[in-house]
Parts: sequence; structure tokens; C-alpha cells
Amino acid sequence: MPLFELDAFSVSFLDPDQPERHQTPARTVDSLSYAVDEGETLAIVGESGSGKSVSLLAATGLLNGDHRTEGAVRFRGHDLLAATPKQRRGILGKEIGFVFQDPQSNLHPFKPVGRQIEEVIAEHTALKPAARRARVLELLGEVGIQDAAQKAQHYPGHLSGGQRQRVMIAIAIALNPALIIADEPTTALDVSVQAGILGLLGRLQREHGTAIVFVSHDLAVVSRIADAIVVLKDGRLVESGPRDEVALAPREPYTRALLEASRARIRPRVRPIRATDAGPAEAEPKPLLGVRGLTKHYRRGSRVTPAVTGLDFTVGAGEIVGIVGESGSGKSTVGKVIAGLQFADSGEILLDGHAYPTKVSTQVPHLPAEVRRSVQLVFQDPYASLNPRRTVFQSIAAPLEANGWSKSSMRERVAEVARRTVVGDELLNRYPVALSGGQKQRVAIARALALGPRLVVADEPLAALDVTTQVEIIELILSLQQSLHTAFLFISHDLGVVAAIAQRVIVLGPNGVEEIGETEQVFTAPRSAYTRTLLDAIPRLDEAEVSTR
Amino acid sequence: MTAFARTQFLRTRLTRMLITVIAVVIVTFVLTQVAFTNPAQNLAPPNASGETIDSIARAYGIDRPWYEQLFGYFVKGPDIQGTPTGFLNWPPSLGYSYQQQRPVTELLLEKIPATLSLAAGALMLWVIFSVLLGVLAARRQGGWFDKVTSGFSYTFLSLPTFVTGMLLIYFLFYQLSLAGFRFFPSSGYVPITESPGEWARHLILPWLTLALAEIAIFQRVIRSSVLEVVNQDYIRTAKAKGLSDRRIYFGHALSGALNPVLTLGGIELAAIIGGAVITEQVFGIDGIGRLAVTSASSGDAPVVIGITLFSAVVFVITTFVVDLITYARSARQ
Repeated sequence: MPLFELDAFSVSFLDPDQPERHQTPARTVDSLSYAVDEGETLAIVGESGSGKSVSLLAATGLLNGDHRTEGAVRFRGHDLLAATPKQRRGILGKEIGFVFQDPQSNLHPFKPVGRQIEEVIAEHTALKPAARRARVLELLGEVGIQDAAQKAQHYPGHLSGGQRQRVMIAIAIALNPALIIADEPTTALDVSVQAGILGLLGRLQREHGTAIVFVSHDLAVVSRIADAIVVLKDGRLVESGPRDEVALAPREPYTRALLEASRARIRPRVRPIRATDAGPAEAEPKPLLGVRGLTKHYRRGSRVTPAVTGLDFTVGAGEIVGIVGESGSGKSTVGKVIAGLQFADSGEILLDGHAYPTKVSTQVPHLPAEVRRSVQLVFQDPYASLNPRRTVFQSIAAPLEANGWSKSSMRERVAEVARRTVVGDELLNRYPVALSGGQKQRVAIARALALGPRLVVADEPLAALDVTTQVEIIELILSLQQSLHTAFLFISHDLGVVAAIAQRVIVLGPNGVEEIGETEQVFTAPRSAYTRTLLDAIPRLDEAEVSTR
Repeated sequence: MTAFARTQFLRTRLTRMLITVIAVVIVTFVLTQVAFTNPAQNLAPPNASGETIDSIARAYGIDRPWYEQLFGYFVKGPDIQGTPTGFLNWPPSLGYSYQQQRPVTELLLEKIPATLSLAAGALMLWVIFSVLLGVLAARRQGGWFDKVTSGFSYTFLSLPTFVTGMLLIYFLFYQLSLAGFRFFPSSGYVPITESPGEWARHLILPWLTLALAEIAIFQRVIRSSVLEVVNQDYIRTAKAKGLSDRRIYFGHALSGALNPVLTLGGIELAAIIGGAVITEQVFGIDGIGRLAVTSASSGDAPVVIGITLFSAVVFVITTFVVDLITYARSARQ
């Protein structure tokens, strides 16, 4: 008997404004069946919207919103869907532990983390408070949090992303559950932190014999730890089987496409495109953007946190430069200062050799119109950076409107950038809610390009997207660089992505610049030890690695 | 936050509070000057000669220009006995009531216990019931309980307090007394020092009157604030821990939903302590609110200024405390 099993399980969302019996809604999850045995790791892979998370949340009764389920969900042979709320509560937290994607939003912001762990123990056992607290400290130690007694008093906001996810894991394993459901547990984390979390889950599984259902959009991540893999698309099962079969010799074209996407992201870009496109390359091309001695500190009270110290680099016209670093390395600060959203404490930024005004005292700077037109921004989260009450057309046209374009020239220009960014005409009158993540990010890029900027600062533009969509956007940016000769400053925590897109790479470590160089050189022969550890932390789909696991 | 930043924060806040209070005094002072023309005439016996009126005005110092009087209010008040007074003295003196020939501070101190009793009891009822009704309505959103409580809230939101008060008196005093159950008094106030039981018995209806209006507001606020929170990921985590609904809603959702409730609560509480004018009037409770009405209608300017000052101080302090709480909560994030 499998430990946990979905049997012809379907989920459909209902329109809350309609009576249920009149509805025959489309199934978000359609007749899905899979099973996990004790101590096994099952990976569920698919793009967003494939129903991979929805199926698990609905199966365990954690899905918000009006929905209907069909089929059966069995845990140790008992049907979870038929269980009373009380029976189900007895299983959740005790026999099934959960680790969710974003530990920041999944931990209660106003409760110390120790109490959040203790709570699940109190709910399911009769342990005395002192014994519970001892168990909390033991758990924190087990998930690799140093200084447990002190950290237990902290609020989630005072811990790093990796520590928070470790706390989530401590909650999940507090009662030695038979099964852990991990829903994209490393997607919101840095590469090196991700490796640590994956290692932790693997170790816990070996020591306690816990079964894991691991949900991910990234086959590369999954192939590290899974025994078996299930591939989903549009709520249906595409392919399932042992890890080596699915990850190394997929039968279905869709699985192959996912695999290809995972690989494409980490293939270093070798051939510089600029030389062919920018006319005769000068020996020392005059840089479009020059950054000299950029320094920025954040103050809170009397505590000063350095974000960037003495950074120097240049971006040539039409060049793509990547900035890689982990959270806290100050990479986003660099982007914000260049885009004029923040001022630096000291240092110079030059556009075409002319320095930006740097007035340190002002909070919101006003850059000259010329600079604002030349430098544009693309943000990380296209869901948040597009105004939900504006149509795609209005969003793209907004910068033109602000610059006083006429109605007709605006329409022409929007059509032009929409064509360049492969935003179809039929999308122009839609609202962001009706777009997929990839389409939204295309719109955000189109908006950035509307004024014909010479430099686009893209801050983690792929972090909120699926692997396959990431590859699409990478290709789009490369083609824009070719056709429009636009330079990009591409900021990311993901070395794999940067490798695929940038000609030169700046690696920011916790103590400043670790390395600046041509992409190929940085990836094949890194000079800094820090870069090497980052490189080693990238999950790869190399056959050699898979077979030596 | 470091100790230095904390003292900095406190210093700016306290300065701002003092400035607010002083500004309120100045504005009220000017308003009373405009509203109450020739107070000496009111103080004089009927048919008094012009000379008598003038001498009264001189004695009270109200013959002097308004800015001199205002200055005197802060450092040396209009004192017939000639003792040094003024708001900025310690203990602060707020002048003498024209009508009652007693220091305003003494009057205020006498009336504050009644008003505070009213506010404290109402606050208790109001917090307990609005939290209970708000959270339970959110938990069964759209269910019958939610519908009934919304109906209740909208009813009491649209009823003015004097109507609620009258209705309570009619049903719980008049009709019950007719039916032979004489428990609720229709009006009056008994100090808690005299008899705690009588104190509470006399205050039940006024408490209910005030609380009903506040519950109506806060039930809505808490309900919508909790509803906003229940779709947060951390509530899903609480469910994934297998916690009971009661723990999820009262332990997790409520504490996440408190910020807007606290802010509005501080303002409402300050308003009640500053004088629940109508409720005090309806139930004949001799508190700040009643004093405000009588002194305003009889042109007793020093008392009016004193009451406004008191309300301003209460308001500034409650808001400060609420801000401190919200600040402490946000510092955790």
C-alpha cells in the first residue's frame, strides 16, 4: 500500500457568484494519479499553471477559494477527502509536514519563530511546555540553525531567507511525519542557499526515512534528489517514472523541452554579438555607462549597513553586462542608483561621459529628462510592476504619454515595440490579470523600450518565471540587443541565467566585487574562490552527476 | 532600534504632542472670545448698572485685550485671589469657572471619574464583542451568522446614540419595570468608592449604549481586516500544522489583522474619554460631557477651554500609545 496516493483526482475552481449545481467548470487538475511509498522522494514537475501545487493543496484541504474535487486521495489507505475536518487536522502537521515556497510570507510575521515551531508540537502532543521548548531547540539544531536558543526568540523578519526556510522545515519535521510535502521550497532562495536546503532535506530523509513529495518547475533541481518524477502539463500527467528514465531519457516531447530549457540556462554565452552588429569595433570603445567608486550605505537608526562599496564598471553601447550576487550583495542597489531611484553616498555615474547629478540629501532624485529617457527599468515581478487597472496598451504607452507624445504617434510606437517584444495585437486591450507571467514580462520589457532607451536595467527579470518562460525571455532580450542595439544591465542571483545572456559578468560577493570578466572566462576559469562556490552550487542535469548520486 | 534612535523618536514625538496641545488651547481661546460676547454681563446680577459690569470685567481681567488674556492663561491666569496661576505652572491651573466660582481643575477632577467609568466599561464590552463578532463573521463569511451580524452592525451604525439610549431606557427600564422587574435605573451615577455594585448597575445601560455604536463599527473593521489576512500564506501554514479553527482565527489571523483596528480604536477611545456628551446627557451622568454642555451654553469660557484642553491631552496620549504599539509590532518585521 502506498503511503500517499492520488487516484483519478480532479480539481475545478468554481465561480463564487454562481450556484454550484449550474457550473461545469474546466478542470485545473484532471484525473491525476500518482503514488509515493514510504521513504521515497517523488518529484512533481511542471510549469506554473500545470496544477502541480493546486493538486497537492486541494488533496490536503489547504486550497483557498471555492473549488470542487473528484476522485480519491489516500493517506495510509484512508481517504483524506472523506475525512472529517477533525480527522484531517490530526494528520496535517503530525503525519504530513509542509514546506512552502516563500518562507517570508509563510511564517507569521508577528510571532517568534520558536513559538511557531512549538505550536505544532503543542497541538499534537501532550508534552509539557519545558519539554516542548527543549524539542524546539533540538529541531533548530537539526535543521542547521546555529545559536538556536537565541534565534528561537527572533521574528521571521530578523532571519535570512535560508534560515526562515530552515525554520519552515523544522515545523514540518517537528513530529517526525511520514511524509513531507515541499512546494517549490528553494525557488525563492539564492543558489548557494538552495543547495544547503536540498542537502538538508536529503539528510533528514535518510535519517528518518521520511517520504517527500517535491514540487518544482525545474527539472535540474529535482534530478538531484528524486527517486521518481511525475511531469504535469495543464493539469494532466504527461510522463512519470523512475528518475533516471524521466530525467535522462524522456519519452515525451514536453519533458524533453523542459529538460532542454534547464540546460539552455546554464550554457555560457561565448560569442559576443556586438562585434558584428555595432560596426567596426574600436579598440577601446567609449562606454555608454560608466560607474566609478559607487558607494551606498543604508541607515536604520545608528546602524549602517553597507550595500555597495567602491564599485567600478562600465557598460558599452549595445552590450549586455550581468551582475550576479546573492541576496544582500547590493546588486539591486546598483540598479536602483543607475536608474535614478536612489542616490549614492559617493561615486560617479556617467552616461556618455556626463556625470549624473548626485545630491545626497534628497530622497527622490530628479534626473534630467535626457537620462530618464535613456535609462529604463524592468522589475523582477511582472505581476506587481504592471498596474492591474491599466490595459497592456496603456501600460506600454504610459512613458510616451508622460513625454507628451500625440495619440496617433503613440499608437504607432506602441504597435512597433509590441511587435519587437512579441506582444500580440490581441493582448493590447487586455488587463494584466488575463496574461501569463511570460506575457506580462514581455509587456514590462515593451514598456521599458517604448522611449527607445539605450540602456535597460533589468533587476531579476526572470526570477518569477518558469524555466521554459525564462528561456523565451532570454531569447527575446538577445534579439532586442541585436536588432535595436540596446544595452542591458542584467541583474540576477542565478549564475545560469547570466551565463546564457551576458557578455561580461560582474560577480558581487558579500564583501564587494569578486570578479569582473568576459562571461566565458568567468564560467570556465573563475579567478575567485567565491565564484567557484557559486558555480558549484548550480543544479546541473549532467549525466555524470546524476549517475554518481 | 538603538537607544539613541529611541530617545530621538520619543523626543520628537513628545515635542509634537506639546505643540498640538498648545495649539488647541490657542484656537479654543480665540473661539471663546468670538463666541461669548461680554461675559461680564452674564456674570452680573440682572439690571446691574454699566459700572458694576465694568468692575466685574476688571476683576476677572476680561477687560484686557484677548492676547494679554491668552498670555495670562499660560503664565498667570485670571485669578481673583491673586495667587500665581497659569497652564504652564506646576500644578497647572486652568483658571476659575465664571459660573461656579471654583478652579476649573477642581471641576474637571470631580467629573473625570464618572466619564472614565463610562469609557472603561464601554471599552471592555466593545473590545470583547467586536472581536468575537468580527472574527466569527469572517470565519463564516457569507453564512447566516455573517448576515445577521452585518444587519446588526448597519442598524446600530445608522442609529444615533441618543436614539439607542432612549430605546434601551424604554425597553430595559420602563417596560421591564412595568413588568415588575426593576433592575435597571433610568439614570444617575454612583461613584465606585461608594458602592461598586450600584456603580455597575447604574452604568450598564450607558455602557451598552456607547458600546453598541462602537461594536457596530469595529465588528465591520475587524471582519474585513481578518478576511484580508486569512488568504495570507501564513494562515495556510497554520492550517498545515493541523491547528483548530479557533486557534487559526483567534491566534493567527487576529494578531495579523490588528493594525488598522488599533489605530481606529485609539481615536474612538480618546473621543469617549474626552466626553461622551450625548450618552452622559441621556443617562444623567454627571461627567465631562455634561459639564461641557452646561458651560458652553452658559458662556463659561474657562471651563470650555479646560475641557477642550483635557480632551486634547487624552487624544494626544492615546494616539501616542497606539503608535508605540504599532511601532513595536512593525519593528518585528
